Amino acid sequence: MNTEMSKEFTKLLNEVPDTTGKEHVDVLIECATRNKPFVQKCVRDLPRPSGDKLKSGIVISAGPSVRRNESIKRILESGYKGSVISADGAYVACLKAGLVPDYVLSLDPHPTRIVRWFGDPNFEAHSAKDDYFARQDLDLDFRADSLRHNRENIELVNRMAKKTKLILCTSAPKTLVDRVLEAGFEIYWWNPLVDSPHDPDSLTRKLYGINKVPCINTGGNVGTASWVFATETLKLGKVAMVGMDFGYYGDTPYKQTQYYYEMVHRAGGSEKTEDLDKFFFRYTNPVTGGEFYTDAPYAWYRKNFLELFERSTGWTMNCTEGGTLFGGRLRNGKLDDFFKAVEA
Amino acid sequence: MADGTTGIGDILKSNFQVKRPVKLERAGDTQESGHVALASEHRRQALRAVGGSMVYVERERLTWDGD
Repeated sequence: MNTEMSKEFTKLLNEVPDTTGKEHVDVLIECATRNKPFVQKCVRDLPRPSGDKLKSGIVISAGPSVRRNESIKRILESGYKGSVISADGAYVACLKAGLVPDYVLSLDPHPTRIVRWFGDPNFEAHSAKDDYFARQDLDLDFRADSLRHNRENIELVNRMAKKTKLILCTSAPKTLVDRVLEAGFEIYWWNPLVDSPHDPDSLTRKLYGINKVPCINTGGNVGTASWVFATETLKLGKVAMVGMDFGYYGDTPYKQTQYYYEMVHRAGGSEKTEDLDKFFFRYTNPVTGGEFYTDAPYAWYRKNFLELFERSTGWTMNCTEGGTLFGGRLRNGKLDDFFKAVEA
Repeated sequence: MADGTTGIGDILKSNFQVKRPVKLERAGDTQESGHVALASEHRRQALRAVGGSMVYVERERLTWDGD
């Protein structure tokens, strides 16, 4: 196990924000402008939850622990009555298990991938030459018979869309907006808070100028945005997170990681484990004692979350029961610990 | 052929002249350009993939709703 980040890992970690920034700046303005006619309601218009729904909430992200720990099933079996906030990648898994989230969030502007989380009417065209989802660990059944599962997901989402409020970023791609409008979601829009609104060339301010929609910091990913939404927008009393792995189980082959090709490229084209080790970093999770590892993008998400968490005054417990997200004053515990804390 | 091997032109004799000369590619040329294109595509996809889902620069505020 490597105990210090290699210089290669650190270099890659520092490159992630630059890569993301250049890729997205024009896209965000374009998407916000294109989506403006659809902005009928925004997160400012959300009814404030009350009773048990205000007292606590669980944010369900799409990390591999959700499946391995059966987190959704355990939430259902506990009879939990608080708010349930799902990231887009975990939404269908919730529905399939019989758990209807109160809210589902989506933010990634990718033109062809994100719509799949809601059932993609153009699945075959969008899947060609794209093995992104082969690296998603949440729904193994999907990989075995993708076309059939996609059709079932479309029907399931169409049937259930009206029961969940869609908290949709103005960066949403056209494919997704078309799909969620067709499915019948009640949509509440928000802008991504991407830089200081007081900077002279602030992109956040430009986005706000387009639609006057409130801005939410994302930390770079939908899981963190879902947590900010739960703690800062809904202002829930106690918030738990599951599936917030920001990494991989120690036994996951490198080839199954999200950014494998980039790491192989950095290793001069080598796919040997010993050549790739320096592009990953390993942790021992304090709740399970298990080994997990991150690549640079997930390490970036982790760092961002922990920075934002220090700015939050809300009560949060990470109940992922695995992964790499721990440190500082962030509580880590098991789901049962959270249920007890809510009852206390 | 100069290298002592038999080429297609040594076996088949045409009875017409083509209007436009045909440039023949060696087998290695095609394979090599394919490798380069594939590597370039992987590189392009990989660079895009390494970015996050969203820009993140602001480290102070969690939300903002105008001044």
